[in-house]
Amino acid sequence: MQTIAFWVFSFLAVAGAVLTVTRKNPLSSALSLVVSLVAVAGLFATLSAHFLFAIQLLVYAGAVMVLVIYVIMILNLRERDMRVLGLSRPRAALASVASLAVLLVLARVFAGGRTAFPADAKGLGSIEELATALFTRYLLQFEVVSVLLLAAMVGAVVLAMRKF
Amino acid sequence: MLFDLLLPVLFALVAAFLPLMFVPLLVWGERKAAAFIQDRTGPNRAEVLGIRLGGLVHPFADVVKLLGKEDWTPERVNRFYYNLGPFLALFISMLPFAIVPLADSLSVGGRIIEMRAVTLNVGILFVLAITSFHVYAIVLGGWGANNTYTLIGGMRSAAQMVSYELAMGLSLIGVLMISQTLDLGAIVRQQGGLLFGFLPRWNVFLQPLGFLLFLIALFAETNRNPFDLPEGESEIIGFHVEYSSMRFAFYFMGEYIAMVAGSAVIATLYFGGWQVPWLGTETLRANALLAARVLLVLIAVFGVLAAVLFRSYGRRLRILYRDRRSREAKVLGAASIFVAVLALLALAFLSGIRPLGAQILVAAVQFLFLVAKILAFGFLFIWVRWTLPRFRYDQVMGLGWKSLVPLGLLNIAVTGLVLLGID
Repeated sequence: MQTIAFWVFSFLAVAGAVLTVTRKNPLSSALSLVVSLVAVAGLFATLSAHFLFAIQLLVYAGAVMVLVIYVIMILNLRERDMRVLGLSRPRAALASVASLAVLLVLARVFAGGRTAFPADAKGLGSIEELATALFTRYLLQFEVVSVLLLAAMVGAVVLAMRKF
Repeated sequence: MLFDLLLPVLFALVAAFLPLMFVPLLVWGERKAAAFIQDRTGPNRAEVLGIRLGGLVHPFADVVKLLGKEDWTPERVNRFYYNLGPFLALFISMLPFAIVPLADSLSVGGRIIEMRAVTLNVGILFVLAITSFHVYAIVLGGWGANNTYTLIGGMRSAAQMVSYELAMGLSLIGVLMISQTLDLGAIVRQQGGLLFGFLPRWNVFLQPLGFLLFLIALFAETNRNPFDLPEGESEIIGFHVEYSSMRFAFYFMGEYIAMVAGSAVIATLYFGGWQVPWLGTETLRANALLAARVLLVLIAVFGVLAAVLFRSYGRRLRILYRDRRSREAKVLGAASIFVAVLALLALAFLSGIRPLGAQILVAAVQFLFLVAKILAFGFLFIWVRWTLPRFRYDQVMGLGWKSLVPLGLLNIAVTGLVLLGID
């Protein structure tokens, strides 16, 4: 059951990602990305990371992508508006292979040979465990990221308010 | 083993069909309530062999009408998105029912059966995620129809729904702070017991402001009047102008199911979900025989009352109509007498209930209370729609950002201070 779910969600995630970069219509691209993000949320759910699952749906697939689509609509982008990126096919292929290699190396380094989560970890993926980790051990990092996000928000407002 | 496989399928089917069954009921309720508020009679013409059920047959006539209508697709639409929109609207609006607990969990043969399709320990976040997905259905319909008006309508609604999601999320945090959990099952279980010795310990009494904010945000999220600008039937053109026949019906049903699902969520979060007021699961199970007897007596009494009412109704019908419509009261009166007799017979032969039977009976009663709460909120939705005028768009945005969001923050602060004071 778990394995079937894993393969289905993985296939959807990869297919969505491929369609995101190959579709010409900007709206199709964005919606393919939504499919990919929802599939990744499904992967989180199979790893019993319920909180990540919900946040992935809520923030990425829900809020962020809705805003992306909103921008596509407000600018009424169609296929003809998309400028072709000056990237030849061999170069694009090379770039994909290179980024895949980097990803594999990163996964190797950070996973450190681990292929599965420890099955008996207490409260794995639960919101209590996450909150305890965030607000005790990683409190400084958490606050720094919050301040960074706040600064980004203020910056966006300042830029938007500037009279041109 | 087979049991383990079948049970989730069964609950998934319940989660899918339960909201669909509410739709004809609410459509009928909407028309009848509108008629009552506007001093009209409302739908009463459709009949099956003279049986009209006060217009309850009309939704089925509507379905036949919608199926028979010409399914017109405008030219130059983006077919994929044009077709995807209505399906998404229907599908996404059903999803919250998968995680709303329908009754207290049963324990059969040493295993605990949760009365919901998916046991998710982040239930509330899932509900919020679903509401944010609802935007796609509307936006895709507006875009796919390739019409400037529908595009603008879709964007208008996307902005509205995104804005009110924020207020919705903020108003929920108060409930989370009180219950210390995101699991809907645990939240409902906590709402048993009493508050100050006489009130049911429902979150609405602990979070009155949060409830009000959530309710307003829910009206905006389900696009119901006074926030029905996405449709704006009468003056501004909405996102589903280019839809006809069954595709329009899907959007229409999606709206009603979103209403039902929203009612279920608000009943679960603030009105104790399946909790029977003043009576906990344990009390009910211990007194299952008494509860069954009280239920049967109530059914019998209502059956006799209905029969008496149908008798006087029948007299009026015979004067009004000299055709088969006058038979209706006779048939319904006989049916209610039959039900009353059945209930009395059951009462006479009922001598004891086994523990499993008691559990199932209690679960059924709790489910009925949840349904009653959902219907009560459904009526509230209808009542508001025919009472309040629609907001202007800038008023919608102003209310969302300048009133609901600050009040939501205030609610969080006050809840935190009170919790700190109790500690």
